[in-house]
This record gives sequence, C-alpha cells and structure tokens, in this order.
Amino acid sequence: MLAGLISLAVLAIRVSGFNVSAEASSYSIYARFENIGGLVVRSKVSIAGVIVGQVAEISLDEKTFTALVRLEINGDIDELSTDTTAAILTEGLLGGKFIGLSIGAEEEYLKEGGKIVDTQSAIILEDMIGKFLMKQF
Amino acid sequence: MSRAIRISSLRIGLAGLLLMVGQVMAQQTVDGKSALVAVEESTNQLLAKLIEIKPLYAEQPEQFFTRVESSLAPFIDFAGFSRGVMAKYYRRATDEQKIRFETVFRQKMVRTYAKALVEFDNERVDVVESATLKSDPERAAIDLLVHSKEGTVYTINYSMVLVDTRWMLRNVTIEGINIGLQFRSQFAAYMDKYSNNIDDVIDNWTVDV
Repeated sequence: MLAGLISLAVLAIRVSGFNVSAEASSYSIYARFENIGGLVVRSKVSIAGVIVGQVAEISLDEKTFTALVRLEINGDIDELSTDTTAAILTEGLLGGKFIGLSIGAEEEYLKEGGKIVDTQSAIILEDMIGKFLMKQF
Repeated sequence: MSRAIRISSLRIGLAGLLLMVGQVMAQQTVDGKSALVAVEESTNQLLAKLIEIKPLYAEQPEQFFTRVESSLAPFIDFAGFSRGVMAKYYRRATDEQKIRFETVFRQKMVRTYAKALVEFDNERVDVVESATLKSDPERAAIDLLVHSKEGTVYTINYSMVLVDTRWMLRNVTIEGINIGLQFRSQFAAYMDKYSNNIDDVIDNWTVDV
C-alpha cells in the first residue's frame, strides 16, 4: 500500500516535469513580449528543440503593458549571442507554449541580467480569426 | 453591424492615444534627431519619390527597381539586417559570402517592397512612437499605422538602430509577425535543404512576404 502511494507520487512528479534539483548553476536573461499567450512559469526554453532552461518569472510592465519574462538558462549554455531572438511557440497544434531561442551572429554573449532585444510574441488564434472576420466587412 | 462600429471606434481611439504618446515622446531626441522624426521624414520622402517614379514601373521596371533601391539605401541597415538573417551561419561564412548575401538580400527585399509600393494608393499612414520600451538609447521602436481604403488599420513596427549618427531600419514586424525572425528561420531551413552549403542558399534565396 505504502509502496504503491510512493510510486504514484514519484510518477506524478515525473510526469508533471517538476524538477526539485535545480540546475547546479544557471543565469537569468530577460525578454519582453507584446503577448505571451499561454506561457507559464516553468514553461520550457529550448534551442533547436533541446531544452536549455525554463521560464522563471512572468510580470506585467505597467508602463508599456507588455510582458516581461525572466528566463533561467542552464549554466553550461553560455554562448548565447547578444542578438539571440526569442519566439513563443506552440507544442503540437494546440499544445502548451514554450520559448524557442535562435542564436544570432554576434560573438559577444548574453550574461546574467542580459536582455533579448528581438522577440516574436505568441500568435493568438482569436486575433487571427478577428482580423479575418474584419476583412469580410 | 453595431459591433463593427464599436470595433472601429475602439481602433480610432487607440490610434489617437498612440498619436498622443508619439507627440510626447518625439521631444526626446537622440543625437539631434529622434527616431520618430527620422522615420516620419523618410516615409514622407519615400512616398513623394514614389509618386514621381511610379510611371516607370510599367515601362522600365529595372530602372524603377534601381530608383527604389537608391531611395531606400539611406534608411535601411541592409548589412545589419542580412547579418541577423544569416545569424549563427554568419560566423562561419567567408567575407565574400557575407557580401554576396547582403547584395542578394537587398535586391530581393527591394523588389518585394517596390511591388508593394506600386499597389499603394495614397492610403493614410500615421507614424507613431511604439509603446514597446527600448532601454538601449541606440535602439527605438516606431509604429506605422496604414489605413486601408476599406477602413482596416495595419500595424507595421519598425525596429530602428542608431548607425553612427543616423537612425536606420534593422527589422520589421508586420501585424505581429517578426519578419527578420522569419527570414532567420528561412535561412536555417535553406541550410538544411541545400546540405549546409551557404553558396547554394545564397543563390536560391527568395523573399515572399
């Protein structure tokens, strides 16, 4: 009975992707988006599909009403060029959101507290339908 | 019908608000001229130039493209733009490839832009400071609101960068789609398609917006 409960708990934790042992070292970089769609804290951050970090914090900048996202990047991924771009992408057709980073041409790298200048916000299905409908008038 | 009216009045309100923001922020200048003023001036110059050279398109398209290119050259940072498109592949490209890609990229962009301009029929264009905050004094975001004849407003966001003492266009976001990023993905996809041969990618580069 007890063994069953423990294994169920372990399974639940594993399946949810929750990871208690945080990466030995990590650093934070920031990205600003017009719209983050369904992005949440602990959403994945990937390069070429490989997970390199996670979303650590999401806040609203009340000056510009844009979303400010703090990304926690694994310490061993230390060659993200300063012109790296961040795009909010969708897993599968209607799956959860994640951030895809794309490396640029610069040979200087983002450090702790660095900012990603160029971003692609989430593309909202309702917005697209709205625009399509407006064209019909 | 009432819904449509409500949406359009909301839009006008929003555009008005943006215009106000634009007027306030226009007073902040970097290096003599603000990015907003630079974009306003260049947009007006380009539209005026267009009216002048438009008849050429039907008769001598090549000459038309050359004229459009020379008018655009002072406003667009083609070197920085194409560098951002090549992205990680830029680091391993030879100097000759970098220059060749910049040339091809510029030609294709100019042609696409020129064709779009020909269809432009004196629609209203508002230039406003974008709400997107740029903490770097050498960067700015400017919105162009293009009012179509049907009443739809298209938002084009210009990402500006200060090159020496001149504000130049580095990237464009059209209706929420980051064009530079699309091209960066296209370059990477082409690298895959043409077996990692940069020369083949440059030779086959196309621009479809």
